[in-house]
Amino acid sequence: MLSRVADTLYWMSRYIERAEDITRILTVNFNTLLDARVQDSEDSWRRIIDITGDRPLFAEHFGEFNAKDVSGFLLWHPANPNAVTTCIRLARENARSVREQISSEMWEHLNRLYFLVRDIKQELSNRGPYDFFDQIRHGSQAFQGITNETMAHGEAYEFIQLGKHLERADKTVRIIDVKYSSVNGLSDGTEVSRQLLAMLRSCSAFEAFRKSPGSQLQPAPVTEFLLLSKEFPRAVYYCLQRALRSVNLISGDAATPRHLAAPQRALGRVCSELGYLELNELLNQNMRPYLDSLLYRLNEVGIEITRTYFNTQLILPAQSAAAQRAQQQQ
Amino acid sequence: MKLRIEHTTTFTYQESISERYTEMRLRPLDGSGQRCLRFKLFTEPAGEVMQYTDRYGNAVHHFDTLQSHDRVIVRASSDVHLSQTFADYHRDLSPLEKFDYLAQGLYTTANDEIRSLASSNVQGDATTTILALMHALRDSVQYETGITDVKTTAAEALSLRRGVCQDFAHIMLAACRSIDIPARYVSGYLYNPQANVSLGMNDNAASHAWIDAFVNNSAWLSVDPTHNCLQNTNYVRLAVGRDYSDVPPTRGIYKGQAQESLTVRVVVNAL
Amino acid sequence: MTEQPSSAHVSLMDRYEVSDFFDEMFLPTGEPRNHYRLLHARLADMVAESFDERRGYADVSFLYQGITFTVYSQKAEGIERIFPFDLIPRIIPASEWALVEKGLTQRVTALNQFLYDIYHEQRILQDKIIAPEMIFEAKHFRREMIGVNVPKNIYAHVIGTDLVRDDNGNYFVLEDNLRSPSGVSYMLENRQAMKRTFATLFQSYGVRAIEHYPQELLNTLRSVAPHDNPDPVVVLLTPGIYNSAYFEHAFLARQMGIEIVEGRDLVAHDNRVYTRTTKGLQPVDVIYRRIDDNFLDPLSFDSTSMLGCAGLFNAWRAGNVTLANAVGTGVADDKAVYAYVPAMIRYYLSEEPILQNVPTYLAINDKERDFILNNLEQLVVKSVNESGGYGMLVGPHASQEERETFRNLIISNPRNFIAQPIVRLSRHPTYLDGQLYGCHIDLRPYILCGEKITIVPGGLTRVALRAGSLVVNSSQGGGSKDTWVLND
Repeated sequence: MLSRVADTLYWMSRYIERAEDITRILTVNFNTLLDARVQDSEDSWRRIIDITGDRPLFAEHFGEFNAKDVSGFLLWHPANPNAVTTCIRLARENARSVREQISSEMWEHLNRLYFLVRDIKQELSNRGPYDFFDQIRHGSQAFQGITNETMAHGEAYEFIQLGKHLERADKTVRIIDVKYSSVNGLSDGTEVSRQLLAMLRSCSAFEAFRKSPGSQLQPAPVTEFLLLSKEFPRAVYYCLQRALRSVNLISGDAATPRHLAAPQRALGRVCSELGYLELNELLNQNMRPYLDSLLYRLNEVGIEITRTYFNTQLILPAQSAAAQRAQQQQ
Repeated sequence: MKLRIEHTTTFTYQESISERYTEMRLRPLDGSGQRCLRFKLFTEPAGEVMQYTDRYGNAVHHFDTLQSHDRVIVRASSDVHLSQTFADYHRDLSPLEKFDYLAQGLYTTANDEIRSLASSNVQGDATTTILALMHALRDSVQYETGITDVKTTAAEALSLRRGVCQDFAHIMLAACRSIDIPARYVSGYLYNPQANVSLGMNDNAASHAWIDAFVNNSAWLSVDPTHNCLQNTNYVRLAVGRDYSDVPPTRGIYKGQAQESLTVRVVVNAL
Repeated sequence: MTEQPSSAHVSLMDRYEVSDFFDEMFLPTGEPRNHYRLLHARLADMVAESFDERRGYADVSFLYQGITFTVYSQKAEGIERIFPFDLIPRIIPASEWALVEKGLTQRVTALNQFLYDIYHEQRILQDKIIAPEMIFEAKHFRREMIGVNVPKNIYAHVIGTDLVRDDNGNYFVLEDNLRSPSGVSYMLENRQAMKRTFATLFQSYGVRAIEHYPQELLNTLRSVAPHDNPDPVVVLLTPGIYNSAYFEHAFLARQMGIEIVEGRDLVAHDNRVYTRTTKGLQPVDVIYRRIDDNFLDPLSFDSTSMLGCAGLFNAWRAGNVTLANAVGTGVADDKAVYAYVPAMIRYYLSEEPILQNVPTYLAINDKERDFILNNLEQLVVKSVNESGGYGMLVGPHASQEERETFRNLIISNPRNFIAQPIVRLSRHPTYLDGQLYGCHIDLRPYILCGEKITIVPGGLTRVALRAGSLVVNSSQGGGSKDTWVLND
């Protein structure tokens, strides 16, 4: 399919997922704060900004980390390119420019979501934050379902899945990263449990975790679940496996590793490493460097996807390259 | 006489650009006393060079460079045989040639000043008129670089009273056309046997422009208004057209934000 | 008639007035013409309410399918509207259509020969049939095209000729439209809507099919592929989603099963054109382009264009890709050049024109200019390069001030203007606000020129939905009707 179309669908999907993830993180924090001691609150709002990786940008516009400024920044601040309203607006713009490629139902639904956030301040004061956050989460989840049910599962669909899963993996890694470091070294058992619960809920993972075998509310099992579960749809390993499946469907099976497309190779390597990981090696002080390198490698995967699928002027058909060589021998 | 010409054009960019398309009119023309014995074109980055002939009969070479790069070099090397003074007799202009070579284009729209320069020099036959016009132009306009640029029109150059060969050619075209003499722009080289002793000449000095005027309904008369003379065996013709915009030696387009800077070096030697 | 029926039972036909214009449905006597009898009977049997109900179905189905056109306005995003569709079909008997078809075939054959000629030997100019300036000063004459050869010497592959009928019911050609005529998607959608709403009537009439148009278009495009490639890759090049005809571009691409691309999806390399895809560059053989010449290639034409593809023109010149329509066909759309089409038919084909031109006065000719200036109140003055009802003066309906403005425009640039007598366009019963009125119509058949010439029977009948208005363009308050060409 056309690179432009694939690019547009991939980013449409990432933007929607990003909006949902940020909204969920905000919801959980509002919840957790109800039980928090006052001195903790600034810390916990700061960690939210850390999850998004936009701390320098936040500091340019605000002084302290409080509920009002952090949620304003994450929801609608015009300077924040990752604000929820911006993500949804961009998702809709992308959808509009490839309107013919997606189903009418997808377009209508995305439109509805757009009109919801267009008057975000009004909606927030009318509904209150919880109700509003719910609307966005439901909106995004319904969009995934509608996509699944109304669009042919061809190449275009796989680019949407690829965007969604890569974005989700990235956000889950960031949540583990920030929350794990806030738990690690704490001696107060209640506080540890409270933070781990927030970590799970930020990934909608609490119920699924409870049902999994050996689900003690301890840092190691929680981290293992969010990082390495093969079954939970927001776990990093699960997301990357799904992303790899999409990439394989897009590029086709390679006869030998030499014929792999760059994104297949990059993603496949990350997957197999996670698949054979020994978690104990990562606990405590080793966790942070590992997660940082994982984020770096996910970023590399994104770059390979862009280079291979969206920016293809360098990949010339074989016969043309031959003609060029023949010319040079003269 | 045989001349060897090495024409090197270098485009450089502060940042990388991609998808550059370059068109060149660098191959010496064949015919009317001039023969191109050898022509080679080198490009860097290397690419397949393609060719077509435009509607004026000029050879146009072109190539594209898709991958990102920050420099393009085009080197044209040619040997030319010049047997006699330019002569193109017994010609008939097609309806389109007649129309286009009399037309007032972007560069060649006549104003009152150009029209009066032209009409005040009409005398005898067309050839006499053209020579008189050329003398008059030489008397009223000073050769000077740095005053005009590639976009300067005939009317602007004449009112400045200063300009370079391109301006002389455009004024001459506008003047001829204003008194109904069809005329066309010629791009090429001028060989200067004393090149080494001339002071203050830049590297591109050999690149030159002059004009052909259609006289007596039958022949092209080629004159160089910059030097106030007829074209002789020191002149190498590359391309003809309505004005500069039809015959630029190189033309290109690329993707990227970086500014382009251009250097040209032409060396002409007798063989 | 002595008794007026009560208003609830007034049939649609009861209040219809036949005027002194040529009425497609009625004879001057008030009797319906033979080929309209069935339709007439059906309408005479119907009241406004039941008609409205059917119309409601059609409107809804148009909305669902997003059949909209965008009206150009100052705002960045055009305003989308439903393209007004009138449910009363226009009916053309077989014999009448046969003549139109023959006339159109003759005309486009001559036009393609003319285009070949002026971009090669220019015999028609050498032989002084047309003054050279007339061609060389035409805005859309493309000097770059001189000497360029195109497959099968066909320049205009898709043509949308505008036909009108006068008081006697004779067909005249109003415009040839050789660049990228639009509207064919409405023709196809109108037919769908008619089949749904008047199925029985449609069936009983024996109407010739038009649904194969996209396939015929694809066949035509494939038949002009470079190097006679039997299995060429065809794409449709659109300016993008903000273009007023984007709906049609997407519609046709979908119907033909080809990719719809924007200029940025294309890249030229070594005189070939490729699409940028997720599997690398894929070669393209034929481009059905719906963007203007000027925007096609920033290297060869407007260097600021963001809509085209650099190097496209050179690839085409080298014969490695086909553009449909070719560059430079617009020269024949010039309304002053149009005046010479009958002369072209005689010159190239040694035949008499089957379809007549509307008489045309060229302001560039002194005598004709005097005539125009002395008769501004009776004439329609048109700028030679405008289309879609823009840049024209309808003398009788214009104010003194507007006429003076045009008088000055004509004097300062006579080459740019022509004038025509007002054609008393035929009228057709059309449903407006619960009643039928006679509204002016024209007809745009779509002609495809490839290996052979194909004309799907009928075309788009456009109708002026403002009472009395002669302008039928969609951007100027016009609508459309389905056109039924009958089997026998």
